[in-house]
Amino acid sequence: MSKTLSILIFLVMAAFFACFFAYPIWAALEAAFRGPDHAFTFDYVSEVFLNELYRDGLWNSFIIAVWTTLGSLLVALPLAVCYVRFAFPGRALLNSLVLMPMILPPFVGAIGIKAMLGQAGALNALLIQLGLMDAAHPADWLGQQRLLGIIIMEVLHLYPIIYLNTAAALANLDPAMEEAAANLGSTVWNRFWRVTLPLIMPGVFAGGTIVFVWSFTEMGVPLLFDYDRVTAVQIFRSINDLSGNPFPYALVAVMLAFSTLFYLTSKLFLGSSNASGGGRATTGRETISLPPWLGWLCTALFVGVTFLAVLPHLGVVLLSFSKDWYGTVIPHTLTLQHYHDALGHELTLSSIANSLKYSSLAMLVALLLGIGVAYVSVRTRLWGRQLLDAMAMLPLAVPGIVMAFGYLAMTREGQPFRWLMLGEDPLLLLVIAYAVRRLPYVVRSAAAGFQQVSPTLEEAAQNLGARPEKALWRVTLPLVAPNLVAGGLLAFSFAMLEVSDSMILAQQAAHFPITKAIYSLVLALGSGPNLASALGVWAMIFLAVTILGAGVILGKKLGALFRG
Amino acid sequence: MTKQQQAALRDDAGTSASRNERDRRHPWRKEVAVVAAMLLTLTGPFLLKPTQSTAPAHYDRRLVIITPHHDRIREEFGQAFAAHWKQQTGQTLAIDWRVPGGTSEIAMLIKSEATAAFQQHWQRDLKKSWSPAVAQNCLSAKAPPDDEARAAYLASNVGTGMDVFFGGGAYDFEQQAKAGTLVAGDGEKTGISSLIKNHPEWFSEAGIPEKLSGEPFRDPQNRWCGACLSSSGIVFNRDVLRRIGITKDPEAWADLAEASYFGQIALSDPGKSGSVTKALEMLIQQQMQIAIDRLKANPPPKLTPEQIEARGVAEGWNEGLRLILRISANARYFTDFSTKIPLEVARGDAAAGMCIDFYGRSAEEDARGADGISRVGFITPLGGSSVSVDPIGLLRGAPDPELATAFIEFVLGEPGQKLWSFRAGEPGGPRQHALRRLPVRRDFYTPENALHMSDGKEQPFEKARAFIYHPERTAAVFNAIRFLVRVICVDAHEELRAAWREILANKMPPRSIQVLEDLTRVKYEATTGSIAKILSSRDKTQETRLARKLGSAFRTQFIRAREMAARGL
Repeated sequence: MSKTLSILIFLVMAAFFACFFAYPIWAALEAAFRGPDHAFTFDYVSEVFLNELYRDGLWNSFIIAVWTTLGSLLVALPLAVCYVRFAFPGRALLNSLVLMPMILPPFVGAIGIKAMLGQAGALNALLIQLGLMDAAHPADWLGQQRLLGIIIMEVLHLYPIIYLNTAAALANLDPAMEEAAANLGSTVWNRFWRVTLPLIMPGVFAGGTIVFVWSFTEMGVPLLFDYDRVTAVQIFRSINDLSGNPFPYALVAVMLAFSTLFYLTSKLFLGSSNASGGGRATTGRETISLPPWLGWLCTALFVGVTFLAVLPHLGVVLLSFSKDWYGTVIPHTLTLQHYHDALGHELTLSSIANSLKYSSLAMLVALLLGIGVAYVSVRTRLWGRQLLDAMAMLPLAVPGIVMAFGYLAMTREGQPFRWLMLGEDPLLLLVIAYAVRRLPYVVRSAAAGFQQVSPTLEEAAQNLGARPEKALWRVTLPLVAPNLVAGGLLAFSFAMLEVSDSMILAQQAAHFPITKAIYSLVLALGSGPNLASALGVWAMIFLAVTILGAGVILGKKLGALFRG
Repeated sequence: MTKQQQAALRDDAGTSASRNERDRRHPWRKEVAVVAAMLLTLTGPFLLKPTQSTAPAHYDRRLVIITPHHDRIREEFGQAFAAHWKQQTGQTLAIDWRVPGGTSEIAMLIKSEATAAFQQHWQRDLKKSWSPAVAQNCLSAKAPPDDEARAAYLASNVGTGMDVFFGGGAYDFEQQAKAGTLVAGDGEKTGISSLIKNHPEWFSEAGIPEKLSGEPFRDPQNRWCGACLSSSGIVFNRDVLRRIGITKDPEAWADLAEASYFGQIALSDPGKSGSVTKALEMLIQQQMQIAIDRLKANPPPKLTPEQIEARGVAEGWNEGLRLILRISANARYFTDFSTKIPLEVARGDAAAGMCIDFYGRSAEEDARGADGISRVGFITPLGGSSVSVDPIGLLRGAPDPELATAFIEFVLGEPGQKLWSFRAGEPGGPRQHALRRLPVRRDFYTPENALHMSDGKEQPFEKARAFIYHPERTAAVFNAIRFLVRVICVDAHEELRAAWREILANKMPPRSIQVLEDLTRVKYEATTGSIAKILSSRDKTQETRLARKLGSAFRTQFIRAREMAARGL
């Protein structure tokens, strides 16, 4: 590629990030620092820290994030080790099922859990039937320990991120290192702690930071437990005051500052442990065949964790078929009516169409940007390319709700980006919001592709007379196409599940994406939750097809997408 | 990316060579299969899409309605009115429902849209300069009477792009009418003023009275009119009640404050829901009435009737707040949507909750088994709930005022009143689900109509006599109810609940209860004085400071009550 083109791409990318990443964050936060007389002030921010409620909120968010991360590590590490090291029954299938917890559509997951764990839910019914619980005193699993409930739910939702990262890091590990340690007399445990773990640390940390930031800023799960002493929920609940109240913005500023702080801190750790990495793998790894009982133990571990993680899914599926599920282990009357009603609902088709429209356009934008960023950062030596790469990863560290606030603020009446609203249609805004938020997946997959395809192929084409642009278009891009397809599909499916932007930016029924349709169905009278579940099941099937499709097309490289 | 990862990727490139070979023989086979599977999942919604849409792609006229009404009401009214209009005029209608959220979001949206439109009008048509003062005064009923911007707004036909405001509380409509965003119409073809001309019998004591038991039913200046009735009450789950040892169904608000309900009450945040605030106001009004009756029965010496009334109001306020505090201490948690309450109760996650009548009745109907018995019940506490209306009104500058008027006529007329109240499938009734709302027109309650109604036995106009709503008693504190309940009960709920649990566990030691229920900070005088002043000043910094100080004082108080209870005091 010619240098001019590289610089051009770099400038375009930088401008885009300035406009749609840095600016909206600033637009969201500016209000937090401007007093009534437009002078700079720290009053609002200090009010956040003075108020015990908000301090509690921050502290609880932090606690949730810490325990979610630790819990996810605890769940994911053994699984990843089992998968990479050992052969056991159902290994390939179980590995591909690991992504399932991540495609839980928002809102209905918690309803599913409530149907399973409520006072008249399936678990209590089962325990009563087994004679393990007194029917007169059923346990109130969800009302008593809400913080714990939130953490468990988030662990079961997010452990796949750490699993994918760790499994990828383990697979890339040079077995010769461990063999050397074994030769020198190191025991199995010693070897794991002293050799393996330090070597896979970058992968573990990459997954860990994503999980940490994700759970620190998570709003959906606490919201459905009706737990309001968490910063993200406090922000969400003060949204009614959007008109003129600067406090939500001050809260957002504080939350962003903390997320960035945590992210940078872990990035520092990540950088320092990088130095110990080995070189190219010198021998291939062979999976160890375990004795049958140990093999089945691994299978049981996978099946157990996956079963727990898909309990909400199971609840959602059962709810979607149940007439009135109350006090029984499984619903006693099954019906297909909810599917008929939900899929035939006036909101449904248009919201599916909207979501497909927003998500596929966002995917295209993200692909375009992702290819640009990845190309510049992998194939050029331009100054600032690392900065660009880091910027493209940062949306992971910024709470979705901050971005949504920012986009809203920058397109208000009289603001320079008002034209993005297209009258009342938030199409462009949502596409940009989705694209920026899902960019990291595309950038990572495209970067992996560019690194894998040797630049010599492109150089050969240029030697034969092709212009650099043509060489890129005809040689390199077709070669990285599978990576782009996978990255694009992931960006697409997560855009379909996007909550924060959709909740805040899509205001009219005609523009609702599917997540907001699910949300408004949940609130409908009577069979609302059942209808929402039916729509949720549809979304799950659609996304499962999408993600498994990406897996089929790309094979095991899916894990590489999550590397930070 | 680390070196190892790069190395591994290079290895991958080698092993995938054979796969590429396979792909070359069947190019894009896997991709085609994946896309085919995606398309297959998409066929479901396409095959099931509603045949009759109220938002067709091609239409002759469009009606824009802003509403907090739920899905079923929108669907039934939208389809029925579109069909009605088609039959009358042959025109295809598109009904554009704007549902920005609850009533507070609607108020925000109307205000911002109207202000933006007026700014255009002011600058472009009147060629005047826009200033913060203009922005503040144009929609404000409190603007000086000679204010130029206010006069210009009231004289203008500046719109919000929306035709009709449908549903919410009478309070919200009064606010909009005062601001000037609702209009009466020209008296000939548009607005409620024209309907009065055509159907004078609807707007009479026999039809829709102007007031009933103190509740406004329609605007004397015809800018809005009640469309159906609503009242608040208690929804409960009999299974859970029996399980926690309560043998009789709840009958009054005060029942929810009983210790046996601990952890089993579902409430929603009054900051998020107008209907909950209304229910709490009723509860307080009932206590005020009880206090006044008590004082009247045994009048203290040297007090004029006015002083007795004032003292009763103040005592009732305290007693009402105390009850709310107790009920909140019993609450599982505060949800953010009032619609969740009947769902939680029906699901057995709570024994009882406060909700609006038709939510409760719908929940009862939805949980009814084949034997006709429902585990869910709903009552309106006698003497503790007024009958009020969900109004409808024409917005200023409506794009299609004639169509809007036709819709209002439809809702207030026979067809609309039938839709509200008839059972699903009855002629003239809703198609899918009974809406379980009570008609606003008294003349509609005929024995013949009662046969077709889901709730034909209800006699709301008679029942309303049991409770006289005195708006003047809570007018000064209406905003404060929302604010105080949020600060004392919602935000401090953790501490409140923990203290109450400890008190219950230690057999209700009286001193700790006293500390828990100490409401001297928010007495009637303080609430109508300094607190109301800060709330009405709209200074967010002051309001937040007040919330912080009050909140932390009450949290400290609850923690102290808990410690005392633990020591058995």
